[in-house]
Amino acid sequence: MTLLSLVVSGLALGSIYALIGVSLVIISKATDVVNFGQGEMAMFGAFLTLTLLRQTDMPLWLAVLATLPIGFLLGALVQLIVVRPIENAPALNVLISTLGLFFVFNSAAGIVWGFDPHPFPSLFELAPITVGGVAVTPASLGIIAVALSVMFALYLFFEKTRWGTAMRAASMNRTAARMMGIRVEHVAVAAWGLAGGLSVISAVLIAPLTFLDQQMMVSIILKGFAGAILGGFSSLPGSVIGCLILGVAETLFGAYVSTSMKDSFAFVLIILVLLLRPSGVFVTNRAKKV
Amino acid sequence: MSPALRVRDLSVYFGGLKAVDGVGFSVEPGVVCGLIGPNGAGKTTLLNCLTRITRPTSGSIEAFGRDVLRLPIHAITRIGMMRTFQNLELFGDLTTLDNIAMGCAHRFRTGLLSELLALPSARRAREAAYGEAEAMLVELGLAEHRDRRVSDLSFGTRKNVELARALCSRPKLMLMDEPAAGLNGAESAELGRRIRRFATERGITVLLVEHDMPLVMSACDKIVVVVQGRKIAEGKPEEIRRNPEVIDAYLGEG
Repeated sequence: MTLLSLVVSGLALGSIYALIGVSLVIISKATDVVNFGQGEMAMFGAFLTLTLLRQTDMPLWLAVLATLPIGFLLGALVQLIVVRPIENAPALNVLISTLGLFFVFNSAAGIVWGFDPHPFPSLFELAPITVGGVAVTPASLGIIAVALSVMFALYLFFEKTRWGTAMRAASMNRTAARMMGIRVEHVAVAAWGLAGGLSVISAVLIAPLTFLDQQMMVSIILKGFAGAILGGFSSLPGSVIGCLILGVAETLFGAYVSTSMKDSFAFVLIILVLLLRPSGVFVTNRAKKV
Repeated sequence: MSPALRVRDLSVYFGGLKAVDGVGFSVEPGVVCGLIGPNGAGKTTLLNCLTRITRPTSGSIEAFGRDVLRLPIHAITRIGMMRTFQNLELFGDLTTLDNIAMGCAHRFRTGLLSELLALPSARRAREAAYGEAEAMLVELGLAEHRDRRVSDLSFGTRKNVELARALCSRPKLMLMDEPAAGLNGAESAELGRRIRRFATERGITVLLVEHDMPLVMSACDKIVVVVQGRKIAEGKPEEIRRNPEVIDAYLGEG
């Protein structure tokens, strides 16, 4: 494979990471929770989508579109039922609870749908084609296109709509947001819902390539974390770029250095970033105001 | 007609410390009322009770006949109460315009779904909110800072942004926590005239917590004095100025 086709498949992989990474950042900014269960919720949502496909004659593109409301509902319910009651608990308790979410969704998926991998239909052709002398798979290009469109829609939402602005405001200063009449608890539900939608899309995009099983998202959420930390974890564009860089770097590392060491690469990268630039590669350090 | 604000026998204890101790007073609509006292007298704690940030140990608070202590914090703006903060509580990474527009968030509400689907109702609400924010931006002389992040602005300008945001909520009762801190004499005098105009032109009732005595004496219709959590005097500025207890406890020390 040429360098360029490696870069394209790296970007596709990075796009998958980015959807998860951005979900983690949205939740963390809105509710100060790091949700270790996000990947498993995404996997669970992908199973729900697969069930929807099997039970109805719904065309695939419609089912993929349906992942958004499915994921939103899943995220919003988890916020209301699990996270809301413990929102004033010490941070460690909340952290352990999100680890609990990981195991609950992981096991529930196994119990309901079994532990064997399920084939998942792909919106895009998986066999490589040649574009201008470079071998790429339409699936890679499709994943990149879908992820980029979703990110652009997300940008429009946060920058151009009043709900988006209110959500950003609430993440900056909750007291002031409440004083302005913003229901901060509604913002929390919306953030978890939005993150749920993005994560399920990510799972549905990767499922045709890896097959859908209950372990599918375990390594992906870790990579999403790694990419988001690379980008500073607090900035959405930074997290996207961090995840894309991670996807490409990892793919190149796998091709040119060692396939078996590929997964460790991401974690070496996290440790290096945390040691050398804890605020991320793209965030310019601003003096904290007192 | 019920007063704009009625505080009855309000106490806040932090452990053994009586931050506010049985304070009661009322403010009629359209009146500018000063709340003064030395540092640590409990003035900010009192404001925090009024805006539901701190829960009082006992006592009652009514605004326009409504029991404030039964309202959640996000609802107090709906009954017409708004405040500015001593140390400013702005949305640092938002622009000046976005900050001001948040002030009227509660008046032009839209559902999340209607915004996600970009329905016309969401667009109209946005245009209405930003229309008012733009007007307020010009009125308070902030036009040149419209698209800058507020955390990049000077302290004085940020104070002005916070005031604009508060006014954008169309408050009937405005609580101001040391608005003159950090201002020079001329700016403080201008602030005083501005507060008078809030009362006369917009009919806003103002509760003004302030250390700047010339400002308090010129802007206020009445003054409440608290020392160590207790109210020691209440009256017109000239009465307060002559009150021996006040002079002794507070004014005299400077």
